Amino acid sequence: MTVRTAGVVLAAAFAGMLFAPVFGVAALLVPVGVPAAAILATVLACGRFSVVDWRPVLALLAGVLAVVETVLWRTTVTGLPTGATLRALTDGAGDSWRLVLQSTWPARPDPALLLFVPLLVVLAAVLGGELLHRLRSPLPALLPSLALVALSQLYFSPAPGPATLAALAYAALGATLLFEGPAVRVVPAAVTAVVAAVAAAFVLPSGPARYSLARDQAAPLPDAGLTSPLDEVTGRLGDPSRPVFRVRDATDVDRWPVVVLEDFDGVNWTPAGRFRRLGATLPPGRAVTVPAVERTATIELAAGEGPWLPSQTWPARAEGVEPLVAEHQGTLLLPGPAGGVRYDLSWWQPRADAGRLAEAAIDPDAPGGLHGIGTVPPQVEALAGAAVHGNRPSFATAVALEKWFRDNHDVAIGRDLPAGHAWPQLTDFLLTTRRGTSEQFAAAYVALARILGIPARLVVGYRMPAQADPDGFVTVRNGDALVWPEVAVRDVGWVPLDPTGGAAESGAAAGNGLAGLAERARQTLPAPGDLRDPPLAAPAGPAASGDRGVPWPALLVLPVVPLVGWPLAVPLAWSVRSWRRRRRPGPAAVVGAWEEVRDRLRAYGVPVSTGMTVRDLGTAAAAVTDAGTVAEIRRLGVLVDQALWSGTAPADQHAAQAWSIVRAVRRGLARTGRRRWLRALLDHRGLRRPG
Amino acid sequence: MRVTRRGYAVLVTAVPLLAAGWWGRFALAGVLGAILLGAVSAAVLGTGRTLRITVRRSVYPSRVTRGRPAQARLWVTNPGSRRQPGFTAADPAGPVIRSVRVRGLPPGGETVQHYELPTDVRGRWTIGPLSLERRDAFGLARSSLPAGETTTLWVHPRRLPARALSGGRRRHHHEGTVTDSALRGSAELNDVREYVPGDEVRLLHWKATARTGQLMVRDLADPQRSRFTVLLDTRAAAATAAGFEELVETAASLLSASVAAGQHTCLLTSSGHRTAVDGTAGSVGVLLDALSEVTQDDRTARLPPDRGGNLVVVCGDGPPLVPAATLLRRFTRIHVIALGGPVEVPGARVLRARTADEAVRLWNEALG
Repeated sequence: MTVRTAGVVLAAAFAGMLFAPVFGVAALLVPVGVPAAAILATVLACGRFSVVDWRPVLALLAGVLAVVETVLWRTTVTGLPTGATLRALTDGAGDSWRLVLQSTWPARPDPALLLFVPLLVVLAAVLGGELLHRLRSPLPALLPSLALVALSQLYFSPAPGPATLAALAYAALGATLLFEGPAVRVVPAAVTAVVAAVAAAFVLPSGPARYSLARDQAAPLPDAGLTSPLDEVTGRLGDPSRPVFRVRDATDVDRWPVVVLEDFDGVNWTPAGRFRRLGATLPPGRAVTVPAVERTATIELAAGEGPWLPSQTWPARAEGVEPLVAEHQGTLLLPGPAGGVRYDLSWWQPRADAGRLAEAAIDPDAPGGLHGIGTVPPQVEALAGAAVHGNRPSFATAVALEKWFRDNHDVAIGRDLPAGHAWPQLTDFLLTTRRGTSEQFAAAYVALARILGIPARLVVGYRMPAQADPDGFVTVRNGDALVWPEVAVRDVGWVPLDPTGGAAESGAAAGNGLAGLAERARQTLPAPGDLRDPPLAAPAGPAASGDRGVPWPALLVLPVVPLVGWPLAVPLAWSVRSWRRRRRPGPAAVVGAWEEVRDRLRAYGVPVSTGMTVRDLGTAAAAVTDAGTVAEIRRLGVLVDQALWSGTAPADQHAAQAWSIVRAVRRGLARTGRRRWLRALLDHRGLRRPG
Repeated sequence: MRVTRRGYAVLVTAVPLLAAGWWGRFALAGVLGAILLGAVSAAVLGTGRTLRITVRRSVYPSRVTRGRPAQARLWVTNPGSRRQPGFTAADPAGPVIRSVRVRGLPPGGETVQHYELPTDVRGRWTIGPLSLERRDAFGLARSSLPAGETTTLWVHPRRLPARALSGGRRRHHHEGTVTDSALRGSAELNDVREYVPGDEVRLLHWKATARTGQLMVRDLADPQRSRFTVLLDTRAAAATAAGFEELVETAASLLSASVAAGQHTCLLTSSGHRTAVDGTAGSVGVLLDALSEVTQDDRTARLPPDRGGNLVVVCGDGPPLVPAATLLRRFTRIHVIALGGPVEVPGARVLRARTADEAVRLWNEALG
């Protein structure tokens, strides 16, 4: 019963660990492992001290106490639960399952998000233990942990490879409940289960699960109406000296995006993505396949600013704040009061080569890159084609369009700044005045790029000033407000461009940031009129998902290899050795025939020792085969004697005769039964040297 | 080979898991369903092989007093040329089923297994037939094979040391008056019957043999041996199941004592069964076997036409079994041992008790 109890509790703990994709293994190990161990110890102790009636209560108490000590330690007074502990426990039990769905994964190991997993593990372990002790059959004891497994799959359904390993591990834990008898009896079931699991992993349709609790989940946005930073750009430029935020340790950064706008209905630019809580860390986007390095900077937001936080395209972590994030855009939004916060922002910076970037293709699948742009005035549509000399969409075309803006439009400075980003203002900017702020430049660029089929989006943010304060911080002011376009480039992700030509005041554009790379790529490209469309390549195959990480399908094949390989390898080894013996010169071929007969008999279980003569072997073989075969072996003895001791070179027919005897012996052995024949065929012991 | 209930439960669980894996693309659920399906398949294939086992069983002792130990011994042999994996032998032993685990047997191997038989309940129990059952390691499928013959185990009622009641009116011999003056018993001709092997040759009745043409032998009896009869109340209304056991034990005690004293002893039941023995050694077994099988029933009391000697009525609660006057005419002396109810029988000595122990104690005291 001890083994079974441990099996039930471990199955519950394992089901809890299936939430690892949501929180990470390290974050779950202690909150799941310690309560499970506490419950197991309590249940076993109850059995030993015969307090069976109190077992469920004591186990539940021990489990919940262990959860409190591991997850809610901060709410206790040196380990003693307080009212705050109770409140955190009830809040966590009620809300954490929902809050974690609103977060990016892996989520922060915050008690408010994490608590439901250890509590469910406690419940499943206690319930399973009681079912095990109170019911006659142990099978229902697995139901609570199975329900927890099902719930974990509704949160996150792993790929077939890890799913197979997890299913095998859970099945092994469940098997400890049902198993009886000597351990060797488990082998057939284990082999069948592994084969079935591997086969299922290949046969079952792959792809994301049809249903997920996390799908379409978004964190609620602050009740107060959010103003678009794009609308504030003109106002900010009118009050240029007011500080917005301060940055430290941000080298090679020339811009700080605040919000990414993708939807344009002809009047307003709006963000398209949903906001979720920023989890423990975010990976770089799937579109980025080039290496990406992690960078960190400290940011101090000035009082009165927010709720949008300065960010980067691919944010990884934010220490010091718990913002909402639009994953595909990198936009950070602080739901609470934002002014005066200080945080450490980490982000992924793709590393690419300027030469490759210049030749790169665009990424038409980039989310939001080709969203609608309202009703396009016909003159503007014609203008777009003329601007890039009719070239096909590519990064080079995007740069050509940028250059066209730089060459044919002026940046407005001074007091009378044009405002607005709807089609009337943009049409005016493009066709009539040709003068505007970065707002009109960027909005017009994105609109024209999308007309040309180049995925682009509008980013509102700040340029990075060159001058640093004495304390090492760089102060970004209202006057640094900038709007710029980004285009989606295959393998690199979103690359910022600068149609105004005045973004890189700090000189960081010459660095290793994507803006700097784009700048260098621009210099390597020929004039827009000399651009030639690259030859059409064959359509690229689906992106290989196995490029990164463990090759799970290959690992799954491993258990099958011995099953398939053995029946092929062993007979092949027999055949090769037999062939080599037959090819020996002179008397050695006859001796080879004798060795072949000896080894074949060994495979049939005839005991052979090194000192045995051919006749001895014939006598020993009588136990497994018929008299005819024994007579053949004795005939072979005569041939071996002639070959070894007559002193004359044996004729060729002697070797042929000896090997015909080998065939006769094999036929005779095969007559002893199909089953024995098959066993001897697959027996590797006959391949080794005797003795 | 059959899938067990647990196997069906696993299959039923596997179906929605596979459906979730296939339709819902939940890989873990699908793989888990496939594992369960594979486990049941392996169990069915593993238990599909026919069991080739021979089993012999012996029971010792074959007759046992209630509560005393009795043991069954199984000789399990593998007559085939292949190793037989382990299995469970389930032996129905009366009201319960005893299971014995037998380990795997090599070709020609034999193993001996012992197990205790239940002797808590009086009765005649059939042990067997043995059912050999092989389950897979997880109990998902099983194959069973009935094997071995049946054996009978008699669980006799408990007997308490009791005094024998002797005396009573002698029966008249059908050929005339008996010799009263014999000092050490007598041997009166009781009957002339056909010879059966084992009869003493010197008792051959030559005249009768000559007359009939086949060997005839004298059947002698001692007319002075007294007779002792117990009438057991088996009416269902007279006692509870536990109370009836007390009645049976009381009867068994008195009958055993009577046989031990060498009396003609007879057991009558109120439902009309009659078992008589002549008081020779070993004949008590016949009475105890009869008592093992006696059960309560609703049949009306019917007294066999026995007469002469002492009669002890062992009865429970309820109306008198038969009219006391009838009994008094047929038997010399009548004792009534009443367990559980006030019984008044005119002309009979009545002993009232609650248990067999008390009844036998009172009996012993009454006989002095």
